[in-house]
Amino acid sequence: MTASRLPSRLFVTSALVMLVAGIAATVVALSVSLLSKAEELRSAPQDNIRWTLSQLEVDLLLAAVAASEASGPEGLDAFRRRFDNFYSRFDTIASGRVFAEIRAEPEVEEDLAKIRGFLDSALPIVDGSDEVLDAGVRNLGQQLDALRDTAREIALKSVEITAVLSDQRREEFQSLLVESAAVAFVLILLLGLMLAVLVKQYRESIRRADALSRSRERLTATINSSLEAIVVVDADGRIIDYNRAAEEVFGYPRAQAIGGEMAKLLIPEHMRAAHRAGMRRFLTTGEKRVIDAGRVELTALRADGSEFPVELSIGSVSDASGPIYIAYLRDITQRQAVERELRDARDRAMSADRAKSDFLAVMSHEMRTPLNGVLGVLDLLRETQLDQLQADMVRVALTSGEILLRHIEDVLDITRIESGRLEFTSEPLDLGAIAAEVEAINKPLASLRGNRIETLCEVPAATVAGDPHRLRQLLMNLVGNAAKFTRDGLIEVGIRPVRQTKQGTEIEISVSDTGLGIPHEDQARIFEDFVTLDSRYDREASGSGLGLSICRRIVAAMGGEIGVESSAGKGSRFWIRLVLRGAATGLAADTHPVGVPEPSTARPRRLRILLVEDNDINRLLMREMLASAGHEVVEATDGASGIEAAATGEFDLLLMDVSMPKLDGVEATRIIRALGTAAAQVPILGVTAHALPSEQRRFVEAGMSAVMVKPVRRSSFLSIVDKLCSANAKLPAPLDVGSIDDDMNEDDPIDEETLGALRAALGDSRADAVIHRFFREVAASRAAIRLAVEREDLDTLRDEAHALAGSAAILGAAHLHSGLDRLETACKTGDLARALICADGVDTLAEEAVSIIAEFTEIARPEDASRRIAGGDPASAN
Amino acid sequence: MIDVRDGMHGMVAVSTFTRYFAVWLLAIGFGANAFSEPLRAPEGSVLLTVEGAISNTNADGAARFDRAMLEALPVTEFETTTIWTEAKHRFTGVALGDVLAAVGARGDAIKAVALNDYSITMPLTEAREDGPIVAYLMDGEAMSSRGKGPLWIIFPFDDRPEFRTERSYSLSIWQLARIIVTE
Repeated sequence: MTASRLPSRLFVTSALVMLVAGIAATVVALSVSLLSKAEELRSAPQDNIRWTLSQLEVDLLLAAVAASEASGPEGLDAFRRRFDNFYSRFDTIASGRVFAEIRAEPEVEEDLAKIRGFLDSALPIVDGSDEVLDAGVRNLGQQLDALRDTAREIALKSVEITAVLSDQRREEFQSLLVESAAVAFVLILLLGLMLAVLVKQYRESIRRADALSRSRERLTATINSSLEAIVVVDADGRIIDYNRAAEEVFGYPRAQAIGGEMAKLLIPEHMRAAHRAGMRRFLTTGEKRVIDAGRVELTALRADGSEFPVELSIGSVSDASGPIYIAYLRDITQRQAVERELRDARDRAMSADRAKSDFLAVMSHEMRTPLNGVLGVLDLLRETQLDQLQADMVRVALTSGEILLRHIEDVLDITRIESGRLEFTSEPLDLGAIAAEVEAINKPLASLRGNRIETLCEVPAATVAGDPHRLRQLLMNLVGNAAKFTRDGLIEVGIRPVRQTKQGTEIEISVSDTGLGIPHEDQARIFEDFVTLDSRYDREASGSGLGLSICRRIVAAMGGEIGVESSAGKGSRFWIRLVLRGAATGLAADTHPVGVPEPSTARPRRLRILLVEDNDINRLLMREMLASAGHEVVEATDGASGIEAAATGEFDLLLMDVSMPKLDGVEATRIIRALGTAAAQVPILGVTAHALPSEQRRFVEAGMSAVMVKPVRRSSFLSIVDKLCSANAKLPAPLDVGSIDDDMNEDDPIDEETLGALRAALGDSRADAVIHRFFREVAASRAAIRLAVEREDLDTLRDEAHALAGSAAILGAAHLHSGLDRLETACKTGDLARALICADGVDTLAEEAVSIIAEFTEIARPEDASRRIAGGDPASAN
Repeated sequence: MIDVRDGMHGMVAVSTFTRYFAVWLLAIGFGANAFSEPLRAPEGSVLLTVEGAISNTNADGAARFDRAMLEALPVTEFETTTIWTEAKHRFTGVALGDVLAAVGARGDAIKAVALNDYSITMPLTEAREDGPIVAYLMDGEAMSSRGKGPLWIIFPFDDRPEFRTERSYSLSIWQLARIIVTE
């Protein structure tokens, strides 16, 4: 029953009760009246009255007869008896209650008075002696005779009266019968009504019971055919229902589960306390955590004691006996297993993919090294005396080699991006300068095909910040493409601000051409890997098919968008939209595009430079390089003496090694800047063996003007020094550092310049000793690295890599240095698979470095030493 | 043949079931008073004569009672109104059953006759213990034969409504003089 039906039901019921009560009261009242009337009828003696009245005359006559025959004492006694009878009869009529109605009649009253008069007068005679009576008995007889008519009159009168009374009584009786009939009729009606109500209620209850049993059957069927286990628990935690699926899931037969304590049967022991606490909390505070909380995953207990994961949802319902809980449970062991398998499969696939990327990276690297050799030799060959055919062949070989090299660079770029190692610097940009530079580089190729390039930059210099190298790379790619696919046309480069956002300025870089255009169906896939469209103009211009996909990746990594609008035959328009944050500090308008050392046209001036470096060899090396350029060098061997020297001397530049014992370069820089002496305004160039861009940012924040990554190569080193000191008036903004790393890298396996500088600085014998020591160190490190690889010991690998990287830098073993660099990074990021691949590469690179240095310096490699230390043939490691 | 003088213990033979049943009914109805001493002869004027099928007699086939003999029988009294009198009266007398027991009545019915020759018959079964009495006093006074006296069979109409019927009224014979027990 619902609450809304209650009041009306109550009203109807009470109305019905009042009606029935009213009718019952009426019936009772009628019945009482009937009963009393019936009683009256029953106790009303009619015939007796007539008998008595008629007997009055008889007794009178008998007394009269006795009077006439009275002679002698017996006759007198007989008269007396008759007289007494007559008297008694009269007395009955005169005083009896039933005769009251008759007595009320005046004539009767008169007659009775007449008789009474006689009797009163007769009494003294009758009660007198026999003599008295004998004397008066005749007279009495005559008087009695005279009263005969009177007595008759009374009898007749009473007949008349009793007839009327009888009629009245009959009528009363009849009305009584009618009333009874009415009452009976009402009662029957009432009974019929109640019967009808009862029948109706009976039918209704039958119908409800029917519906209830049907719905219960349906519910039972639903519950039993449910694939999920359903357990119903009462407020005391007892199981009150338990379906077939639950039998399967938990292993208890229904008969055993019903009535059992749910917590004991289905909840693992270690979770029971939490369950009970939760139930208590719910019962006392009503706070629900699991109940009605949707799907929850928990651990459940089977009959055999094993635990398994379930997904369940619990609902609660309150009935008269308190709350009950309905739990739907599903065994998710299998699902979790599948999920785990999927996860494992995904992880395996990802690690395989990463391994592939790593392999690609390493392979490309390995390919580039010999290719550099080939190109170098071809360069040399071109300068020799060649006939026309030979010169053509060399030119083709060179061109092919260059294309191959670019492809390899592309693949390297991709793998670098894919491995997530793409980091962006952020510095104030001069987008116009970048565009101009790109235009300048592409002009020769464009002119060859009769193309013009026009550049328009609407973004003022130093208003936004970003990574200039990546932006240049993007522009180079798009402009290069445009130049390749356009003949006798116009290439327009536009850079303009689109709108201001919270993050900064959104700019659009567009490159339009009037070339071939891209068919609509190809527009989507040109940003995918290895997609090349047929190039009609210049076979040689065909690329790796990675250029645009690299662009897409870079733009995506910067959080921007790249797209193309094109129609075949009319040209294309590539656009890039990026949000670049505003530049924090303005730069002088003449700031050069960062990262590209501008060739110094002015005569280098003589600078006074403080060199703070704890490593003797490094210090010697850099001092020689600076001295060779005519600079004056003051040396300090640690941070503290560097600070002191900086405070006392007057310098144009400070060179600060980053990692030094006790006080490192970063801290020293911070102190120098904070001291506020003359040196605080002097540019400081940090020198580090190995640093991620994020670390380099830390150095810049400490006050370094730029950071240079070892190995130090003379040309780039001197150019950076020049550049830092050319911004004479004020302290220059921090220079980009990644480019230095790029420039330093890997043109040759061994940087002969560095090696030469080492020899020049140390003298042959000392240099030879250093090289010998390096060979031994390499051999020892290779052995240690192999061992660590077997043990998958990342910490040892990292330390070995770091240690050997320092030595490799000093000796100019550029490839080995970068290989060690990669290994160290992999170790730091905890990427074991990658570390193992890098370690493998390092082994090869070390072998290469040693053999090249040995050949170059004509110093014998210590094969025996290598074997001795490694405990085996190093060649066998592969 | 039953020798009722010896009471229930003296019961030696039962000639027929009917007889036995009649005696048994009397024994139930009248209790210990059913069997009293042999009747003496009346000394005062005779108020009631019982005759017919009785075994206790003090005259030729009849039992005669004077006032003293009636008063010697167990007394029953009650107050009641009657349809023949005004107001309520106190009636004192002998239960009809006690009278019949005193005379050793063994019939099925009685016929009662009044001085004015009125008469009634009633089955013995109606002489119940709580039923009619033969009243000899009304309100402590002897009743005159000019009223309803000297004896009046009267029912306790007020106490027992079942007697407030025409039949009981007709059985309420006054001026009672004679009872004949019939078989």
